[in-house]
Amino acid sequence: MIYVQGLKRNDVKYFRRHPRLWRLFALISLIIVSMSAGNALAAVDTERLEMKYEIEPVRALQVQADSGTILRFGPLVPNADMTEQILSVSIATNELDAGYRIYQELPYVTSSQGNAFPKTEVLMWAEDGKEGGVSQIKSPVPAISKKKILIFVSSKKGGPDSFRIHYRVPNQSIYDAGRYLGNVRIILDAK
Amino acid sequence: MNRTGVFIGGLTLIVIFIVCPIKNAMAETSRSIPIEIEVPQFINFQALQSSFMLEFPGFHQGLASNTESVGYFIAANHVMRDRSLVEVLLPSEIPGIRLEAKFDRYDNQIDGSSLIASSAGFSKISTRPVAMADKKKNKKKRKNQLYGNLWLQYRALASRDLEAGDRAAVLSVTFSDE
Repeated sequence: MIYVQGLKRNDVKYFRRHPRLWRLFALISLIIVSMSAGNALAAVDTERLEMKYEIEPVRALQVQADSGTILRFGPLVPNADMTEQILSVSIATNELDAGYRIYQELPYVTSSQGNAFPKTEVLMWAEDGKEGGVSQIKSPVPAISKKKILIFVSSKKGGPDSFRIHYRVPNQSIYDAGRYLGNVRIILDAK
Repeated sequence: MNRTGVFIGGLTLIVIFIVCPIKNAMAETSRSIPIEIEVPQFINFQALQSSFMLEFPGFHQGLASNTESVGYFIAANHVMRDRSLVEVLLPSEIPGIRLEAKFDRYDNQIDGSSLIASSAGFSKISTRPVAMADKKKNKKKRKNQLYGNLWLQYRALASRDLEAGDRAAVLSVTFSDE
């Protein structure tokens, strides 16, 4: 049995006896319902959806020489004071609880004539980080090496940090005349 | 091994060779900065004493003076020349005197090149440059460097009978690296 809201039982019996009126009533009801549905589509509706998002782990490394975009030594005049250059290294990362290590690579420094600058004549040492990272070379060591040199280890919790690397040419010896070039590569590696 | 096994094995290898390097690459970040060291070409050549004295035991022609050894400090970092690196000349002749010079020795103070005599024995010094020292060829890494003391011996011969008195002359010694 179907009851239409607003109709009493006696009214239903009345419509049964008069089927034409019943059909007319059904038609009018259908039109009213359709118009209501149309109004519903035009109204503001709000859907709530579950959204998932993922932030990629980022490790950004920045190096900056105090003298600009190049570590420049010289002109090296014999018996003059040693010269020092500073490289500032900063690490920006959103990875917490993930430590990292910083390495340096400087396999050679050579002149255009093919002469190699003496390996022991470029020294380096690093300061501790401002945010808890620890220098692994607190006293000067030769910077020119075919191997990667571990220079810095982050704190256990990782996170952003910054520190400075000092490069020195003692200038206590005679070097072949020339313009020597090389490439210092600072590497950030996950522990 | 059936075809399915081969397929799975191949797929595993692809994953190992493609995915793993990508993962490693992501774990490492690096930045590079150039380094430049400029070493200018230089020569430092200076006598270890400002003057020296040659004395004749008499005044007759043919007499020889005493022999005096004079040192010169040499520091050079671009020695490309092999012969006649050190030359001696008299700006003007000394009347009645024949001045002679000879390579004595070179005391090398670094593991670089060395100097040897351009000729054996004493050579007459005149107004034209006379070679005293050549570079001793070697295969060392620092073959273009000289750092040490060169010693030259001087003596004088009376080409005629000499009048008594002190005489002074200026001797010019030149080092050339190329």
